[in-house]
Amino acid sequence: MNLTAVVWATTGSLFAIGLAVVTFRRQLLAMLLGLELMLAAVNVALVHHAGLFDDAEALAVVALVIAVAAAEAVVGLALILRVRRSGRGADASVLTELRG
Amino acid sequence: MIALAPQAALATGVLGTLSLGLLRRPPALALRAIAFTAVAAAMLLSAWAPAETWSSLILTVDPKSVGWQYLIYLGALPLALWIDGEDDVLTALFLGSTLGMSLLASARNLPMLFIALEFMSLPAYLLVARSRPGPRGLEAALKYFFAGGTAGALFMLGLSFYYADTRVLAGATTLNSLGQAGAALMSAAALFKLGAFPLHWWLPDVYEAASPEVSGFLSTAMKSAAVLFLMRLCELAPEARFIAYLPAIGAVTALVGSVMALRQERLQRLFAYSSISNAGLLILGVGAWAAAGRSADGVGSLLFFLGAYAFMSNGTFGFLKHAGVETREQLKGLGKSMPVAAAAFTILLFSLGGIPPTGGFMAKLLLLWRAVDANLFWPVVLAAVSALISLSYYLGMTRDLWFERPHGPESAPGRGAPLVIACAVGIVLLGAAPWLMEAVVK
Amino acid sequence: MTPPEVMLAVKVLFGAPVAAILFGFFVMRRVKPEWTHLPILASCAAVTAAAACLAAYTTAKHCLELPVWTWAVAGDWGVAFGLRIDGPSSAILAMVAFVGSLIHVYAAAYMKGDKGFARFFLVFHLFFLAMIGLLTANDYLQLYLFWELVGVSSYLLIGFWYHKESARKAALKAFMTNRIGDLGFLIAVLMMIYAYRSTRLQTVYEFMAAKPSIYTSIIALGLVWAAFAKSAQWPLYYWLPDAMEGPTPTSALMHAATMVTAGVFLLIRSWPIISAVDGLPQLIAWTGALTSLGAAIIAGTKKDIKRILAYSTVSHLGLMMLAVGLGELGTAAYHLIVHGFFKAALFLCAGNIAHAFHQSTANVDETGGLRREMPFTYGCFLAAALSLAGAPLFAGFFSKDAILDAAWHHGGGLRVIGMLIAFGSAFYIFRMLFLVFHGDRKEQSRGGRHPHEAGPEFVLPIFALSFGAVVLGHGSIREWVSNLMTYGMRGVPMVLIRLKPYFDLPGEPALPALNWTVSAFGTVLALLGAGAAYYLTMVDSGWDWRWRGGFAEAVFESDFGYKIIVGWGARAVSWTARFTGRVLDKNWWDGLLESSSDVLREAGNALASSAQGRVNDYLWWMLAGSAVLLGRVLR
Repeated sequence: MNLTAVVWATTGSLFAIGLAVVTFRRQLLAMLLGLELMLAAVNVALVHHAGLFDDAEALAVVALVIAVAAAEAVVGLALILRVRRSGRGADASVLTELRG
Repeated sequence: MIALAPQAALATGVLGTLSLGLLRRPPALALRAIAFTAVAAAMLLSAWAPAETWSSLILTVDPKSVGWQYLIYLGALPLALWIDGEDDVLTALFLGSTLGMSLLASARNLPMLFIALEFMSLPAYLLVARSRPGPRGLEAALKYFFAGGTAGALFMLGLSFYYADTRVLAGATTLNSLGQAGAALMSAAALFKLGAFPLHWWLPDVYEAASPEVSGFLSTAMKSAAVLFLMRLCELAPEARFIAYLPAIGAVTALVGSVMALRQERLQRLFAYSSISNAGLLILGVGAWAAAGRSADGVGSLLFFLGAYAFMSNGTFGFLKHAGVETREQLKGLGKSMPVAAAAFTILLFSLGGIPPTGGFMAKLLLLWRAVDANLFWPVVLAAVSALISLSYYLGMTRDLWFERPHGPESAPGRGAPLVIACAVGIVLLGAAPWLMEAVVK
Repeated sequence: MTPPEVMLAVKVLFGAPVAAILFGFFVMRRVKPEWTHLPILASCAAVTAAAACLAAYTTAKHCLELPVWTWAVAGDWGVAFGLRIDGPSSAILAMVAFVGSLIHVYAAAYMKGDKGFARFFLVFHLFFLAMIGLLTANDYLQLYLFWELVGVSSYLLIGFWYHKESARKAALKAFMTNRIGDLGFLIAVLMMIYAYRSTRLQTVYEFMAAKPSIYTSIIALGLVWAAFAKSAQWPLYYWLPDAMEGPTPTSALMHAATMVTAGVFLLIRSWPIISAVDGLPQLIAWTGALTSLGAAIIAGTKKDIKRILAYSTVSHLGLMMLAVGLGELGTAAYHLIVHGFFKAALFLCAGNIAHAFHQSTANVDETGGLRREMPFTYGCFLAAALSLAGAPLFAGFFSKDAILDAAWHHGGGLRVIGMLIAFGSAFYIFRMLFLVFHGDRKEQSRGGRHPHEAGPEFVLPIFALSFGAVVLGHGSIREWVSNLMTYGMRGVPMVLIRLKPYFDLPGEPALPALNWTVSAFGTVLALLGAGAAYYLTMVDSGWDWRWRGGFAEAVFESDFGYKIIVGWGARAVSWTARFTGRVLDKNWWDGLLESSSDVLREAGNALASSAQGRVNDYLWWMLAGSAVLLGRVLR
């Protein structure tokens, strides 16, 4: 079984798990983790294919994606902390005031 | 690097506001002045762009990108004027988001597109949270964050598929199934940003919770950026099959937006749905443009629409801020208490509804004409139906303004009247002389 | 390159009236309404000078086509405004400017003291401007715009004395009829856009040359219908007699010289299109001839002096239509110009008479023997009447007989009708002359009023107009018009084989030389007509038109057509309304409407209720949507 297939399998399952986490879990922190998981999964695929095609540009992209993911985590954490401190708890089902 | 001068101006603005924030008490309005200067400088610098184009691996500065930047700054200008002069972080976030948008305009390949997307979105999430302190702003920001983050992740997944299929990060000519799937996922991210159905759910919450001027910014500058995003995607993945589905998505979005707006009582949410409806039209326009071979002329109708929409949306949200109204009930009788502003608002409403001879009518006409030219019959019909439906609430609001008695206590008007009036004047001018826009953009 | 004075003339042509109207509206109306006419008269003078300059320019065989402003462009179709000043338009423009200015001068005197003096002049001048715009349009859409504007100002001026119910009704009738005609115009324009993607005159001409098609017929019919409405041909003529409710200067300018001739002008402009449709020119010719004859007969039975002249206008318009239908565009234009002069003169004389009786119009039963009390008016009237009847060497002789000549050569029924028209027009105009100016003074009906000649400001304009009506038959004028018309259609593609070959070809004049046989015949008939009039008015004045009852009355009442059309139309509409109300509405439409609004509401509710506000749901939707898109893409 060649490496590419393994990589795709890994990426796919990691991404799917991340997606499932974001969609189905209610704790905001967990959702954030799912988000990060998705981006990490993509990175796996990109790194592999960068090596396959001998392309340095794609590796640069990976670096940038890591940076972006980090920034996203910062923003997400800031927001989650705020919500926790506001006393309503960090649970997605609480955030339903805006609707319709 | 004169070519990137506008971006530099914005970056300087960010740094400037943050530095000012270090002071114990920054002078009043200084932040607003910096914001305005930064955006205005960016506008001027982009208009004064040197004739030679400059491009690197990931960025390019050519006349097309300059035109789009201009539109984005046009949408950003009102917020620059109105932003809370006390909050340095807010201003920095605003300028940062605008910077991200202008980078998007110059993006040359797909990863850059992603970076610019996140660059403009992350500050936007915080902007929403901070613009109106309170639980609602936070809630909207969180929803925006998660939805946007997922969209970004989907985009990256799509990028990886695309890359795996084609070995390049831009402009591949043939796409196999993997590449097609990748392109489709990337388009999902673009459609999310635009507010297409069924990826639109974040939009009403965000527009409702943020303060009106921020919503105005999001609905104009961010929408222009999102349209550009979609168009660049169409250019960088020319053989993608998702392009063929754009008109249908656009038409359905337009219809859904109009229908949902019918039952809204809260004004910011109503205009959010109206924004979704207009986004549907824009998606339809992009689909028509792509179907007609992605010509440079075809872009004209889209640019005009976005320019007109910049006036309309900023004007309407500006009126909401100025009048301090939140619900349709509060609109009643405003024609009496603030006639000039209400008149300007009415003009803008008419323009949104597409009543001649306003700019909105011209914009819709041009866009739909192009779509008809591209043989898109049913989407145009649906779009027209949605426009008709939308008329009911626009005219209903007009009636509320002028023909109903006020119910509650009158709220003290803000100082935003000149902006609303300016937008109304602008839209009327556009209606009378559409070539003005083209001249400016070219 | 166009010389600078021509460009200046063009700017003055439009700029002066606009400036005068704006100035009058914003300044004079507030400050001194009685002087509103001053800037307007100045503008008239400027316009006349500009028109003369342009006429000189086009006489030197130039044609000016000037794009002015592009309003909107969508793909390859755009709305562009521009000017086309060629032979026909500059000739008619010269007449409009000159006659219009004289009538403005008259109106200053006639309307003095009226409460709505300022309003009158502003609307009057607006009409003037609209007419200029119409004549110089180079695009059908632009023409339509000014066409409508002319109709609007007509409405405002007919209903000027709005406290009179008859005036209001007449204004509405005129406007409605015009609207019916404009429907044809609109259909034609839309067809043009659909078929040719352009409404510019030149472009449409070129398309006509390339390939006439089914669209050609629709466009041509639409334009002809609109021209019939505007120029009061059967069956849309009934509004013109009622339009006499307006003040006399209105009747003189609009409903004699200019507005009603817009229809003829449209046909001249559209001749390449119309001539491409089989049978349409004949239709125009016959309609014109029959309308002309019918109107001439009716004119001989009316008692209100303005109404007689109104029917006379219809009759002469019919003559112009006849000329157009026979392909004699030069003759039609020439008659248009000459008619403008003598008809305006006649109307202003009628205005004098009415003014002398302190009324808005006069009835022949009240007048009589006025030639001693109002000699100047009598003299001018006589001159204009002779021109109308076609007395030899008067201008009308040349213009009318040219048309009769063409009809004669066509042969058949038109030949006969032409001669009958010659008889009839002489009859009615001389009947009017004798009844009003000759005979005994009817002391009882005068009621103590002493009509007398009004001041020079009332007479001089008429004098100028009558003078024109007489001398315009001079050879040099005829040659000028002929040249203008010949070279005027410059640029029209020669491939239009149905076009009379004299366009763009030197040597063949647009105004053929007069056929003296026909003219002699026509003159004899005119004399017979005048004689008959003399007999029936002066000699046997007791003849009280016994046959004027019953069916004849119904036919000769102008409202006949209107009542039939409106009556049937109303009946059809009410039947349809009852049908739709009872059957469709209750069962189908109401249900459909209610259910559709219900559907919308339910849809909104359903969508909204699915949005509980939970972010996870949002993501679900997103994923579902993306999956669908993915699925379709990967199919």
